Amino acid sequence: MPKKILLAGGDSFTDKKFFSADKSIDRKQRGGWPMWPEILGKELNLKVICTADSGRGNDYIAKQLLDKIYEYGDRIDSCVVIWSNADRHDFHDLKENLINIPHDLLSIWDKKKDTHRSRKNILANAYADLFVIEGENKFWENLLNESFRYMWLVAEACTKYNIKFIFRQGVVLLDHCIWDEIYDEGYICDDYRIQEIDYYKICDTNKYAKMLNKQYKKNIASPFWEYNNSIASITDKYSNELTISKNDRHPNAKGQAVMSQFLANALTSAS
Amino acid sequence: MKKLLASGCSWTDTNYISSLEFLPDEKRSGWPMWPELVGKELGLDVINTAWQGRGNEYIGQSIIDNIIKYGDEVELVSVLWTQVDRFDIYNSTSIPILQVLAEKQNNQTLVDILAREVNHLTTNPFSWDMHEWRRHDVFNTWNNTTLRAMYTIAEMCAHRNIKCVFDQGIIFFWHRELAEIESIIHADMFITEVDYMAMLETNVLYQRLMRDYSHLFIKPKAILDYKHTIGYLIHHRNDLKIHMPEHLLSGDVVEDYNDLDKIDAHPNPEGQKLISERYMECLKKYY
Repeated sequence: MPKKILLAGGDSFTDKKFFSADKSIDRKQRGGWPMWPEILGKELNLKVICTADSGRGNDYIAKQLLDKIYEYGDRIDSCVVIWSNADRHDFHDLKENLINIPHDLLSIWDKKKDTHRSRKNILANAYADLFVIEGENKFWENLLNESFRYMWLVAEACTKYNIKFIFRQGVVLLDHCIWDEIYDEGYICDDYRIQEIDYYKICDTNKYAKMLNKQYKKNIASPFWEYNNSIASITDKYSNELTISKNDRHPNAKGQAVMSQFLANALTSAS
Repeated sequence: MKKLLASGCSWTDTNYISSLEFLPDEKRSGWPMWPELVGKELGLDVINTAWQGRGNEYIGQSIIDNIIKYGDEVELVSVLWTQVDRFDIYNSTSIPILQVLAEKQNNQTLVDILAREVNHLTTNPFSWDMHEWRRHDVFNTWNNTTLRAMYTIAEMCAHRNIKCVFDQGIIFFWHRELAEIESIIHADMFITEVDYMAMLETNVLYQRLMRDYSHLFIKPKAILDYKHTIGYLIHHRNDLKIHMPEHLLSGDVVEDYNDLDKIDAHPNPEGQKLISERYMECLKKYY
């Protein structure tokens, strides 16, 4: 009988291909260590299928997971997901063909002196067209609804096939401060500005978020849109010990081991 | 009253109005669409989220949202899926190559149009560089987006004892046009119809969908083969579509692109009736 499967999803915190762009440190400290799915799979004696990809948004993460759930069904024992930011998205703008904000953000990491400004420019330029056109179509509500809908679909699919599952993180924005600066500097019409408090209000009132909270409370870190409930908050707390460098706060080898232990405990509690 | 959830593209959208302005108003829109006809026959309240030009991802999401919204009130889900090469940008939609034809200038061939549009028709992946094309695995992504939407809705309906009927599917019916632009696109972007079908048949999601839910399709062959779709039937019968000039009625394909602004092959009232009859037949057969 083939080994049962641990299905893992996420972004760069989970992607085994991740390699830090911080060139100020030794290559050996920039990547290549076992990521949490590998450590957790070993501990649980499960075959690991990891669909994570650096820089991806929740729509991509969910689509890959759903495809694997539909393919393997009840051969999957457990599904563990560390979701990404809600404003990470593959989309088409009006000028530059396909934009993937996070990929573009990663690509400028070591090319620009002022990374902060470059990040801001990319976000502003990428979203400006969408806001102009789609501003009246409840952009933020749609963006968040998409993340929550996908999370809920993965949760329902896991339930159908009796797959144990836990979700961590979810719908935080890449950087609220950058968004505020984008509005303050007039990149995007102020009519589309959303205050952080209103953002969380949308999260609190979203129907899929409510359903996740009601039906799957033990499987998620509720409310999982809060930073304090995120995995990053754990690695950030002991950042010197658990992250790659001052310039790159992705978890290092030790950070991945801590994450794996944390997720193993969460999986046990949820089951 | 129990509900019928319907979705689709312009063939299902109650707001569709023919762009042929030379036709009298009553020939351009205003008749009942197939969901209304099916709903009337079954005594169901119709919630129709179809939207012209939208792709299968939107179609799927609109059904999912309403299954959640209406819960136990939903009796039946009916979807007339659209072609796979339509991308959604939130509430906007890209312009697939075929739709560019409707906006074409006089005396231009398709190759002329694409040569002009390919640089700024930004939502057309054929204008991407190969790195982007490969990163997004375009043909497989198109297919999987549609197949995933179908499988998800089928699962949701099965889980909730909701009746469900699908028509059409993963149609990518502009192979002839793709052959015409072969010389102006990267060689790796070109795919023959045979290879496209082979790619689909080996797709895991397609295999799962056929294994678990092929019975939900009015004609399972219509998922892959355009000639089995309701669209093909309506295209080839003058009495079922809005308008086609007399001299074009005999041929299988439109050879003269100058005539495209005189054609509207969307279903007329009789065409809509035929679609509703296909849905009713399938419902009686399986439920």
